[in-house]
Amino acid sequence: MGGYTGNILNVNLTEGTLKTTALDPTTAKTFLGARGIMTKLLWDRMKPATQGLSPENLIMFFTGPLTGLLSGNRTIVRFKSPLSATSTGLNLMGHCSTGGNWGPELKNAGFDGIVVEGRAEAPVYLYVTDGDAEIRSAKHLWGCSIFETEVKLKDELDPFTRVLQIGPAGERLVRYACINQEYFYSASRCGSGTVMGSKKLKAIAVRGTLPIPVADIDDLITLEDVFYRRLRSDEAYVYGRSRWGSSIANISSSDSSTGPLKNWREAYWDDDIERGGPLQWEARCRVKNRSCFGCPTPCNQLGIIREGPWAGTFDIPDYDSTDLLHPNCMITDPNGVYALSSFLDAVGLDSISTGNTLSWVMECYEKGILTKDDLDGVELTWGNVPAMFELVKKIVRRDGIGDLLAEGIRIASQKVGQGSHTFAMHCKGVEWGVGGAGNNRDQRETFCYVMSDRGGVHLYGTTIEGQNDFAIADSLTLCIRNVRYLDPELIGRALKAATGWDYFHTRDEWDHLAHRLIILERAWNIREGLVPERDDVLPERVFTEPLTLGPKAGTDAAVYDRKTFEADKQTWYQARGCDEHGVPTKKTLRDLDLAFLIPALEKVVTLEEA
Amino acid sequence: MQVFVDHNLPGCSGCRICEKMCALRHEKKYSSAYSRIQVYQFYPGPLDVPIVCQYCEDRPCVPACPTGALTYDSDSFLMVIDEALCNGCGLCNQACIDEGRGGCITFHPQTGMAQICDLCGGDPQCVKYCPSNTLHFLALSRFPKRLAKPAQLIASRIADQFYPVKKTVGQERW
Repeated sequence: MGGYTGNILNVNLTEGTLKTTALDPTTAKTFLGARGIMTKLLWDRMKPATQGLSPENLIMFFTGPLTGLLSGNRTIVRFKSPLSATSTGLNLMGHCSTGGNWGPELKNAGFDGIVVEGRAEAPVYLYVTDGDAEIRSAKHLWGCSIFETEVKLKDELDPFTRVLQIGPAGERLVRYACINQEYFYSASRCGSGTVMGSKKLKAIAVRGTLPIPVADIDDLITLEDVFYRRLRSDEAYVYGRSRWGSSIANISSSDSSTGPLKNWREAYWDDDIERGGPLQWEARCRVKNRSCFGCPTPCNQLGIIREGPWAGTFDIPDYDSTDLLHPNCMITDPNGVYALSSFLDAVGLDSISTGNTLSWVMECYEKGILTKDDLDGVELTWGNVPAMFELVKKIVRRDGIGDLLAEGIRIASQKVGQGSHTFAMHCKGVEWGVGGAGNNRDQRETFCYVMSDRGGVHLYGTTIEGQNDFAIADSLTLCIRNVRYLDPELIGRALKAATGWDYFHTRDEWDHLAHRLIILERAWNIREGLVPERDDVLPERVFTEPLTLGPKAGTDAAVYDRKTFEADKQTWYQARGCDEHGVPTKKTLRDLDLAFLIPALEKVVTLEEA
Repeated sequence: MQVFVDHNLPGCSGCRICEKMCALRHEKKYSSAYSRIQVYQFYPGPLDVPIVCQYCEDRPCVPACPTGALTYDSDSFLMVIDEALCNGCGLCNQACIDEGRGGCITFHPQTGMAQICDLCGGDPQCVKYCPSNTLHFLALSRFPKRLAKPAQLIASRIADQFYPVKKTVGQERW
């Protein structure tokens, strides 16, 4: 079996034990890689109705059959999320992914993935080396920022060590804390850092030198060349990515009226907001670009703020974080955006969720729902960067109002009440992301927030086909930006060369495999308490407040009609082989070789035959 | 005329395609430990610095080899390691470091034998696949005083060039 290393590292932090188990080849073949295999393991190993912050929760870090080969480099993290939840408060799937160098290094260390369970008594970190692992004390790292931890661990261990870590926000169980590596590369959605923090696991350091086993090395060497050329074939894309990174989308999302402005009230901006945009980065701050392992289109723009109160701050601004901090909070000072974005990385907060939370508080403040007294004296007016800093610090310290806001806007809006839930922009508890989806009125794109297995994330895919692509890309750990330049036939050939197995040759086989992964995720969520017809909903704002600015103002697209939404939902259910309540039918499950799900599902819902 | 792989200092994006292609070309293995070129990361940043043999004019590594395994072939202008003689003692790399060069020699993780850039016999894979044009092939017919430099020095030069202030937010203890 090539491609996979065949080993899974199981860590039990309560008992302090480490065990290596073999990756079952049938599981690997049926569920492909990272995302698929982890969902299967969650189904098999996690007790139903475990809550996100309980010690029984599992957090898994996995690679796929193409990690470290070709352009595969991502690490996918899956767990029971402390943030994503049904309307009754039962936690659902958590998923996030990060690029960088960690995944390939783990493969080189001889492991496909790490499964962590239990809770350590004192802070620890995990050190994984060639075929070996060790739990070490992290007392000296606890309380350190992400930037500090990265450097300290690399000094302590080996400069070539790759480290995944959490910051103070994760340690204090802020529900939307993230995991970072190399300062700015985060696996951030759904509270991944919170789960690590709840297990008292500060970091996972990996150093590997073993070769990754493969089936046909000669074909892979040929394919390296083919992939490299393919990924650089679209010259305009490569140029734009290398020069501006994903932030370039800030302009186009406003032009097409798909971005967030003023807590998602509008989708179009110009003037001051646009001038304050992330594109100022190149002129003011940019130093060089950075990329993930093996990727020929470096899209991370590293730079430093050169003047003003935040001079000397490093950052790699990304489209999603800057958009949600910048137009969504109406900031007009670009340096303020970069400084906040960098600060959130340092303390280990998900900048998407934090941006949404801040903009929600700003709207509450504007409407008088939260007063200056409620906010402990912070005047959170639109675009007030120093006040945003102050509030973020309160959130990280869980001090005063920060303690409530650290629970995420689903819980906060329930507690605050007074109609604030109508503009709390989240789906299933997870605040909306923006890149690739990010349109608060357009039905096609808003859809991915509703159907996603992990709430309002932007990387679930907006169409059936797109969702299939993302499911496969996440399983193979290919970058979703790169996968559009590859085709099923080429990836099938790469998989054959890596593993020696035939997975797919055609688009139909690819879609079938992706469908299996997506239905497995939905079934898992249903087992954990999801009731699709109750929980597949959107925030009120989308239906009741039409856009008044930009090209969509005054057209049908300015607001999402409730009836259209219900019809769209049924179309999706049908395309995915679900009944009208959004539950997969028995026929679908059998067709997808998922018949083993039926007994467990029948305990919680009625399954229709076809 | 001496040919070598030169690098444009601040250009490296840290993708490590050079490492991957080097290990594939020489050992047919997917592991950067088998690569002759190494990409270092420096903080704050991160700044990426690729280190590979620069074919220094004076070659302190050659006399440091106790067994005579490491030699310079003046016909082909290439560094050559005789695998029958190399005992993996590491003195060549130590000399490289001690003389203030980069520490450009790596060691095979299994056999422990020295690995040094051999320019892939004329078509260096690292140069061929470098997406940011950081690595390029340079031929010099006249020798200025040209020496390899340690990664740390290169990184600090990049930092001096681009980072006017040396402080970063978020370092406060929580």
